[in-house]
This record gives sequence, structure tokens and C-alpha cells, in this order.
Amino acid sequence: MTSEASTASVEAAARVGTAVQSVIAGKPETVRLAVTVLLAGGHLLIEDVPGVGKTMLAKSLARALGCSVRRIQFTPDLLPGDVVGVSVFNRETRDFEFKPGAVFANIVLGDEINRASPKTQSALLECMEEGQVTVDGTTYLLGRPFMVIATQNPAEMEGTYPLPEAQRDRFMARAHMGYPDRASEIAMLQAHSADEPLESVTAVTDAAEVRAMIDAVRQVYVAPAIDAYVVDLVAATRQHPLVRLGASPRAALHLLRAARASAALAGRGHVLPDDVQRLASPVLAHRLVLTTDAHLSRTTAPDIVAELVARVPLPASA
Amino acid sequence: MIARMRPAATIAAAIATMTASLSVVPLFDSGRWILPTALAIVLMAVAGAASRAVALPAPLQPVLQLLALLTLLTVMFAQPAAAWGFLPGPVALAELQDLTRIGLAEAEVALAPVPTTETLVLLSVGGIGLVALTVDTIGVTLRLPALAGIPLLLVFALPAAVVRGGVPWWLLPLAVIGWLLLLAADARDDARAWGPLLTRRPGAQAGPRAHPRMPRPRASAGAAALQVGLVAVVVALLLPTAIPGLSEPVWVSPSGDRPGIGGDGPVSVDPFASLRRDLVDNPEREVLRYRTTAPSPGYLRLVALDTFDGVTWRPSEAPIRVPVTEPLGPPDLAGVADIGESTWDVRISDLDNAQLPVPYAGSVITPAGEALDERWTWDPQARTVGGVGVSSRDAAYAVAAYDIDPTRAELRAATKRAPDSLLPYLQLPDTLSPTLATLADEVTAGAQTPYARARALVDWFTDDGGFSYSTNVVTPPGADPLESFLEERIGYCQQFAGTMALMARAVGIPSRVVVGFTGGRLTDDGEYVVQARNAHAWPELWFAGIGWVWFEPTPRIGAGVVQPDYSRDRVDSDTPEAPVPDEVPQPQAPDVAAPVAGAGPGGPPTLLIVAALAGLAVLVTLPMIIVAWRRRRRTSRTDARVRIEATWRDLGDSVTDFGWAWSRAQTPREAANSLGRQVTLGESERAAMRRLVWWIEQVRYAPPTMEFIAPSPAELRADLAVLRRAADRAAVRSRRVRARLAPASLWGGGLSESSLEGARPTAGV
Repeated sequence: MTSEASTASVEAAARVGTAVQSVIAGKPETVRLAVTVLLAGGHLLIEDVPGVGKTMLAKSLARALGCSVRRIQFTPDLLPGDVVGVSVFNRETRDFEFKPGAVFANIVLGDEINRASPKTQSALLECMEEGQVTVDGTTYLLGRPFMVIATQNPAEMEGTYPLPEAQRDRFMARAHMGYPDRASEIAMLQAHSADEPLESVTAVTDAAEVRAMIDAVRQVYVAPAIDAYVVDLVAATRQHPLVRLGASPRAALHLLRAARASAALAGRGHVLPDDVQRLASPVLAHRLVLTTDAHLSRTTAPDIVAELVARVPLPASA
Repeated sequence: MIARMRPAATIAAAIATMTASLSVVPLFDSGRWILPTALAIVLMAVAGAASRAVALPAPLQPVLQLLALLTLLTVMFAQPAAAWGFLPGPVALAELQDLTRIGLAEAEVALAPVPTTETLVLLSVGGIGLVALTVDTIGVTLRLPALAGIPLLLVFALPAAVVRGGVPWWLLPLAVIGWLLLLAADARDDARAWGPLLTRRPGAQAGPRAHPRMPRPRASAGAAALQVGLVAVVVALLLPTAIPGLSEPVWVSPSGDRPGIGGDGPVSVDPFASLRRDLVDNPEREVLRYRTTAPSPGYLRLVALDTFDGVTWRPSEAPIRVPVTEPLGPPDLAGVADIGESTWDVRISDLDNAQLPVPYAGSVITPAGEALDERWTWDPQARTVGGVGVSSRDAAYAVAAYDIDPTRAELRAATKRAPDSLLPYLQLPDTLSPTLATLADEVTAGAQTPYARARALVDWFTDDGGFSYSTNVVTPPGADPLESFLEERIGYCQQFAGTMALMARAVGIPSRVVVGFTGGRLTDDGEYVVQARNAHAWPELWFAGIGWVWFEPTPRIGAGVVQPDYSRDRVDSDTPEAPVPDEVPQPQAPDVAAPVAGAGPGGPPTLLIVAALAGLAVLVTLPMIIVAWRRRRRTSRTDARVRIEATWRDLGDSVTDFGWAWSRAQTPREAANSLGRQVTLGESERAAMRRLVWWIEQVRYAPPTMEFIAPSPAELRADLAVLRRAADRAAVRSRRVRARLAPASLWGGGLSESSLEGARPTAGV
């Protein structure tokens, strides 16, 4: 990764972050995570109670990027075809014609994804992994960048189908919004009373630049010691006594990609273990399936990841 | 009444004084002072006990003891002047006073070991008697035994400060044990004040006696105190080796430069100092006149300096002394065909020195007129004349001397290596700058014989090397004078002579530096006049079969500086007639080190104690040595990446040794921040931390194609040391001690295991 590309990427990413933060006040970490996942070419799952700005985050990010945005409101009666598209018979041409679904956009906002039926959910998730849609034997490529920002209410909420672990695994990271602090909330009230703040978010970059940024991130150097560390960390989740199902190899891949993006965001050409550690909880926690003991002792997955980060030793260089 | 006498404490005080005064032993050349001094100590104890027994008021007790001491001194040293044969009357006191004054004057100029003269014994008996009096008064009468340690310490400190190389190490524990006995005896008396001792000697009666101090109810307090004290002594002896920064144990007194003490010879003034003063102060002052039958008079020698201690040249440690009235035979001159004889009539005027100027090789000295003081003696090895408490002023004498004027051919033939007895003349201090040896090798490269090497050195100093002469040379502060001289190439005779002698030793030629005078100015009536400005220093080099041969490396014209015939022109200096491969001596530095290193005082018991203590010290310091060695090894790896990684690991080890948290699960930045939170780091320490973090990140995580300027081992060590000091400074005392004596990191990666254990999941328990 050349230094010019790096500088440009850092600046563009900073602009995006600033634009989003003008709407989502007081959550710089969450915004940073969203940008990191974007640059890493991953998908983001935002999980929190209703009304804390999940959709707002996704929308403002999409607007700031200046890319095409589609929004899918997931409901129990949503069909897979609504998501990926359908082949419709055209009477004039006497042929089936493909009507693209909502996923044909750079940023796809999947609102309340866990309200949809598993069938519809899996249709979306296939697109996320493959970056393409196959309908009636024909494959349609999705645009680049392609990022799904899905929001989800916590599993306990009424009328939800919790995402199966296999599907959670496809999201690179899970973000929590959390309630804003007092000052941010007051500021939000004032901002929202005047006009719609989302209107003020303008595109600060475009799809081409985001693609360049994503390519640049791939050039970030990863030392063997970092590879080893990521593997150690992921393996440790599988051996933890309170974890029933640990993180997958895909999780390791995602963690490393996210760490690369984080390094690029910091203007570095190489990944530091600090990048890995910072992203370990967002990237790994939502994939872990905990044992009953863990639930009984109210230990959460982020607790376990934090504990592992605190004790897995960093490999020295060879 | 017995209890009032406090016999135990009295005896302990006397023993304490005796053990402390043992440190005076190295001051004298014989043990004749010991008995009278011991008598004085005993007398002080008896007088003290007696005055306590009759309940003499406390202020009067030392007065009585003083009278007893004066009586003893009178009987011993001024008996004829005593009133009624033993009482110190006014006449006797005046006599004692005179003797004391003479003794003090003697002590001022004499150097240890001093001859056991009557006056010096008087000083010893009187001085140590006074100490015994003080110790008895403070420790027993006033019951302040701890304070009694001060006069005892004074007795110990005087020889320790005066004797070159310090007093033997075992004198300190001996002196301290005496004092501990006094403390223990006092503690016993304390306990006894509460009634009969229960644990020992239950029959011993002691009247309950109120004492203002807090008494200890335990009868064994004295014994316990003694034990604690003994442990303290051992620790005090061993600990200095274990404390970083104290490279030398404290009981080893520095043998470095001591202004005013010129060494063991008769010189009471640094010969160089006086030389330089003469050169600078009053160069025209006439020092002496002489007539000689020698056709080309050489230099007049005052003193030969054969030991270089790293800073200055000194006379040898233990010169043999021969009365000046005895003639010295000719030196071993098997290799010289032409030996002449000459006589020198020397009349000294204004030279106040403890040496007599004599030519080389002087053999017989006959006084001209007034007989020479019998304290003048020959040093047969150096062939110089010196004495204790003597002055050369106005001395007049004739010297018969052998004129040794070897030819070049004879010098070239002198290729045999020096016998073992000359090894001291080849010795170089370990601290000597390596530049010197390198330079000596360069200068003498290609020279086959010792003579060729010597000539190469002389030519280099006087000609090739670009040296110039100046008496106003100031070594920059902090610089090594020798290196500075070789760098600037400007100096005066002392530096030329000293440096050439060192370089000669470096190429295997025995050498020494001689201080004296150049030949002086020849007057019309055939008399030579030597002035202060003729004061000079030059090297003498030893050649087999010829002996000591002088050379003149000082590039200076005037003031009588001449070149001996054999080094006057350089036509054939480097063309030996026939190389003698068999006997070409090798540079002898390795041979020299071995026999000298093992030399040391002490018979078998001392050796045994030393060995045992050394063993103990090694045991105590072993962990430290291992850790230090490991650190050294880690930080000096040739591969910069390995070196940095090892340094980082060592930092972690050090930090944990001092009791701070350091987890290998932490990233370098986290570790740095965490240390910063635990130990308040100063600006330079933070900078060192930042550098180490940056380096370790570069090594571990940056692309290998990325070039970075690798830090040198010294840089790494410096930063590591800075951070270690910070961790040390902030640590609690027990951890600081443990970090040195039993560092946790010594037993391997205790670090990662413990951090894993500490982080075991507690949830669900």
C-alpha cells in the first residue's frame, strides 16, 4: 500500500466518519467500527433495542458514501424474491425478465432482519457471502462496494426470529448502539427539532473511491506474528469452558480483514496486535454460542472475548 | 561493688579497643608496638574499673585514667626524667611532649609501613591509650556503648585511609565484633538490672538497680544482639557486592591517585608534581654543581618509577634497602665490552628532596666532608638513593659509577627475553587504553630486535610522530591524559617518558621511568651547574646482558637534553646484522598476566576464609550475575531483530522482577501504557519506552522489506537500563531486594504462566 493511497484513504474515511457522526452524536466508536467494516468489505450487524439510532447510522453512512442505497424492511411476510429479485414473464418479448431485488445496491439496509422468516433471511445472507444473485439459473453480480447493514432487535423482543449462528457468522462485526449520554441526547433533541438531520448529510465520497479504499486495505501488511495471534485468539474461543460453539475459521478471516482496515484507518501500512485486540470483541462475540452455565452466570460473549484478549499471549516474531 | 565495676562491659571495651587497633598492624614494619599498646589498653580498663568500684564521680574517672596513662608513658618513654622514677613530673611531661612532636613530624613524612621507632610507638601507645580511655568512659561509665563505636571507628579509619591499597578486609569484621561484644555486655547488664539472670548463671546476684533506660526483660538479649550483629557484619561485607552501582566492595579502599603520597618509596612528594613545579616556578634556580671524570656525562637520577597504575607512574611497592655506606656491585654487563668508571663530586645547594641525585650506574658513595645521614639508603634495583625524613639540602658526596655506553651492535645482539624477575617491568594496567598497544605495534612494525623497537619508538616520539614539547599542557576535564597526549601529540618530558615506557612494555621491552636532572651547563672551570630547569624525566629500557639503558623521547632542544650515542642517528637502526629467529622475544603480555594475577597476601587460613567468603558471595550474587549475563547476551545478539525481541523480553522480565504487572498478552503499546500507569515515568523514561515500543513493533509487525535503522546493543541497553531504574525506583523495598537476589524471571517464563493463571475464568464459579 503506497503512502499516497494510504493518506487518501485515511482522509476519505475520516470524512465519512465525520459526516456520520454529525447525525449519530456521541458514538465515535460505533461509527469507526462501521467505517472499518466498510473498508474491510464486510457486513455489519447492528443490534440494539429500538429507537437508539440503528437505522439512522446505516442511512447516514449510506448517504455519506454517495453510493446507491436500498432499504429492506424485514417483516414476517417478506419473501426471498423481494430481496434478491424475481424473473417476471414479459408478454411483449415473450420471455422471462429479471426484476432485480433490493440487494442490487451498494449499501443495503436490512432493517429488523430478525423479523423476517428464516427462508428470507438466508436468501439475503447468501448474497452477502457470494456477492452475487442466482435466479432461475442465471447469475447476476452485485455492485461493488456491497455492504449489508442489518439491524436487529435483541432476541428477547417480541415477534423476532433470532438469526441462526451460521448466518450470524456472515456478518463481519456486530455493533451496539447503546443509549446516548445525556449531553448527546440533549444535542440530539435540539438538532432533530429544527429539521431532519439526515438531510444535512451529503455525499463526501463515491463508489469508485470506496472501491479504491477497499483495495488499498487489502495491501496492508500482516506479519506472521499477527496471523499466529489471530489464530491463537480464535482457537482460544473454541476451548473456552463457557463456550459451546467457538469462532469459525471464517471468523479468523474476518478478524484479520477488519484489523487490516483498522490499520489503514490509522494510517499504518501494517497491522498491529492492537488492531486485532480492538476488533476482537465486535468481530468474534456475536459468533459465540455460550453454554447454559454462561447464561446462568450472566457471562456475555463480549466478556469472554475480553477475557481471552487479556490472556492469550502475543507470539514473538519468529 | 562488683556490679558497679561492670567487669564484663569493661573487659568488652578493652577487647573492642584491641581488635580495632589491630588495624594499625599494617602501619608498622614490626610488631614491637603491640605489647606496650596492649598494656595501655589494659591499664585504662583497670583504672576505669577501679574508679567505678570506688564510685568515683563520673567526671573524675577519665581524669584518673588519664593520669594512669601519663604515668605509663612516662615509665615507658621518659623514665630518666620522671619524678621518683615513675611519676610524670614537669620535666617528664616536657620530654614526652618533645618526643610526641618528633613522632608527629616523622609520621607526617613517613609512609606505611613505618619503622617501629620509639617515638612512633609512643604515638601508638598514647593515641590508642586515649581511645581506650574514651571507649571505656563512653561505653562503660556513661553506658552509651553504641557511641563508643565512634572512637573505635577512628582507630580503624586512620590506617584504612593511610595504608596504600587499604587494610586487609578481615580487620573490619574483627573491629566490629569487638564493638558488638561491648554492646552485648551492656545489654546483659541492662537485663541484670532487673534481677538475677534466669537463663544463665542463676546464682549471679545483682542488686535491682533503677536505670533510666528501657530495660529488656529477656536475659538472652545480649546473645540475641550478638547474633543479629554478626549477621549484620556478614551482610555488610557481602551486600556491597550485591548492590548495583557499587562495583567494588566498600572495604576495598581505592588505590587510585592520592596527591601528596608518592608511593612506597622514600618520596613524600609526588616526584612528577615537584618536577613540574621546578620546571615552571623558578627555572633558573641553581640546584647543584658537580664535577665528573666521565667523558660525556649522562643524566643524574633521583628516583625510578616502575609501576603504572593507570594514571601515574609510581616507585615500586617494596624496594630493597641497602645502607648508603655499602658499595653496590656492577650491574650485569655481560653484553657490554666497554665499561668505564668515573667519579662524580656532587655538591647540592638548593634541593630539598628525599633523594640524592646519582649517575647510572652508581656504585659507591663517599661523603665529602660531613658524614651522610645514616638514613640514606640505596635502592639496589633502581640504583637510586633515598631516605626517610632526610633532606638532600647542602649534601656533598662523591659517587663512583660504572659508565655503561653500549654500542649499537651490542644492543642489537641483546635479544634474550627478560627473566621472570623483570616481569613487574612489563606489567600494564588492565584499564590501559587499547589505542596505546595498537599504536606501539604500528610504530614498531617490522622491527626485529628489542633495540630496533626501542629506536623506532624514540624516533617516532622525537621525529616521525609529529610531537611537540610544551610545559603548558592541560588535559581536558574528563579525558584520559594518556589518550589526550597521544591525540594532541603535545606534552612535556613526563608524558613522553611515561608513554614511551608504556609502549615499550606493550612491545615486550621491560621499562621504567626515571626522574632526575639532565647534565646541566658546563662552566669554564670544568664544573657542571644544574638548575631547576634541568629537572627531567626519561625512560629506561632493559636489554639482556646490558641492563637498564636510557632513552630520550622528548623532542626538545636545550636544558641539557641529549640523545645517547646509541640512538643519535638513525642510519642503521632498522637493519639488524643477523636476525636471530630463535631468540626473538615475543610480546610478552600474556606471559606477564598469569604470574602476577595470583599474587596476594595471606597464608592458608586467610585464604580459606577468603575462599569461603568468596564462595558465599558468589552464591548470593549468582542470580544477579546470571540475570546480568543473560541480559548482556540478549541485548548483544548480532541480528538486530533477535536483539530487539530479546531486549523486549528482558524488559518484561525486569518489570515483573520488580513486582509490576506485565503480561505477554498485552500488546507493546498496552504494556507500555500499563507500566506508565503503575510506575510514574519521567520524560526520558517515557522516551526510552516509546523507542523500545517502536522497535519491537517494527521487528514484529512491520513488513520485513521496510528498512529501519537498527539500534545498537548499547542503545538498547541504555533504554533498558533507564526503564529498569524506573521500575526499581518505584518498587517496594522487598521486591527490589528480591529482584536482585532471587529474580522471578531467573526461573524461566514465570511470566506468561502466572498471567494465564491470574486470568482464568472466574465467571460461573
